Amino acid sequence: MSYLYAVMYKENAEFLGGGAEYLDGKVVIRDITEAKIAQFDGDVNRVDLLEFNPDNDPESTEQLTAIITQLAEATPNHKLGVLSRAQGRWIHDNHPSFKPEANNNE
Amino acid sequence: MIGHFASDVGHNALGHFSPSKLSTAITKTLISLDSVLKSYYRLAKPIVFTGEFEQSIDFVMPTDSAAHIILGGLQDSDFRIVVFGTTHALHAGRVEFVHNGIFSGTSGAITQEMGGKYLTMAITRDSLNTGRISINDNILHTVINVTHDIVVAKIGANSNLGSFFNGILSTPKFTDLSGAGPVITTFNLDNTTGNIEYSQENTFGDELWVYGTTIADATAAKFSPINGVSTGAPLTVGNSYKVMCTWEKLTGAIKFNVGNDNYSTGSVTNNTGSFEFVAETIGVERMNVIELSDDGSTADNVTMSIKEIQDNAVEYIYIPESNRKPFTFTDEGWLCDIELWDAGQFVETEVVQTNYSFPAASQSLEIGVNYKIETIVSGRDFGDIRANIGRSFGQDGNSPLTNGTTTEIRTALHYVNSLQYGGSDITVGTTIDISVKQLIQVA
Repeated sequence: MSYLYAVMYKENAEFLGGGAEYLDGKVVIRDITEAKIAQFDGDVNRVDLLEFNPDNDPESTEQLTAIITQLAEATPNHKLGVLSRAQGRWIHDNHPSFKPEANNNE
Repeated sequence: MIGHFASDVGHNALGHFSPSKLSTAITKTLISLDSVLKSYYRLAKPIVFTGEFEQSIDFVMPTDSAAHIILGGLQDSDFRIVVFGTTHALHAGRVEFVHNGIFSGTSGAITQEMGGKYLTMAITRDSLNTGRISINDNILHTVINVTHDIVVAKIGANSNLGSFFNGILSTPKFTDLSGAGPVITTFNLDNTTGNIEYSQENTFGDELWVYGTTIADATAAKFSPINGVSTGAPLTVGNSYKVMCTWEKLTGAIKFNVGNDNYSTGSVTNNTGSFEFVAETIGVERMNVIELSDDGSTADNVTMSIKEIQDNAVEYIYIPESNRKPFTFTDEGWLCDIELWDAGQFVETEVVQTNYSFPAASQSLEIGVNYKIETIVSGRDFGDIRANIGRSFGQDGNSPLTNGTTTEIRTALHYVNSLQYGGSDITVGTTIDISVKQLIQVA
């Protein structure tokens, strides 16, 4: 099924029901809908509409990294980042704030 | 011994005869865990194995480079079972057994084809303290001198919630063989009763007590399953319970007391709270009573629920409802009942056609996952019709499709929400029916 990820600060995410927590109070939520996005009264950054492709579009990769880094700044901000599944999985695999911990045996 | 713990309807049970010959279709609900969302199952009562044991669990992993956690312990590094994806940089297609923080080293490569396949893993410790990991009854990893207690507290996550599993985990079965007879515990990871909430679901047991009331201004209210306020059953000393509470307005703390006024088990400071506890005998007054008190300044509407925590209670953490999918066992494996291509039949109206796109607005493919694509073509006299799904699958379609039914099984290789059929110079009036469903083949 197609779905979107939302990346935002936890304190702003109550209208979405909360989500998986990452460092510095960020959460990632899945299955965010257009109706839910419309409910948010802060800045909405529709990264998903960039149609970023991690396989063949390195410029978009840099752009996505910059966007996520901005979201991950120390001061909680009032922004909702909307990511496609490809983008969500890409930041999970590549961005330092979202990567899983290295396996201890590696 | 390991063979006894294969899946209930997996490859070992059904692999030797055709599902099409069965009188009744076998179906099950499978739930995908999403490692980005940190999905996992939390066992409300961790299982501690002090001696000989056998554990088994079915799993389906995509083709990827991640370290997938099958089982995790309670405390940091006390226990975990890891399977590395087939494209992992260092340990591709291997497993790892960690006990009490001790790494077993990685195993040899898994002999079965893994990506998107339905596999059964067994983890055992025998009477000589030798640990083993098997996949589909083939021993893959042997670890000597596993003498520590093995604590299983999580399925699909390691003990400190740093790494997770991406894919399907199903049918876990844990057998403690350290006593006079085997003690078997199973967990329901494919709940079909609904009631799944977004972030978590629980199967803690029957509802013992549900209560709703209004707590007046700064009044300490006491409610109990056994003091006449509610008709619920009393608590039992030694048993475990989970309390959940919500209220509309919070101006102060709401506290739960168990046993007597002097024993505060938990308090909540948000509009939803929960805690778990074991009923104890503390004092003599109101023994085994839960009390709820509010020290706020205005009235609060409060609801309260108590459930006894069963031995196989499991909590679903960050698992979206949409990750639950029904599957039917077929000759080809577990075929998802959900149709992904919902465009239906279409009729070619031009000799030179444009591509027909996968209906990406509502559906998408998932990397590393296998799909069964069935195409029914009729009315074609000439022209080239083929799956033009290169970006989705990393390859072009097969040879031109002719009239009749063509079935292809492909693995999605890239993150693109598209599957297209294209071609050229096709007979006007050609009709094409397409069906796309997720397929989990049994290895």
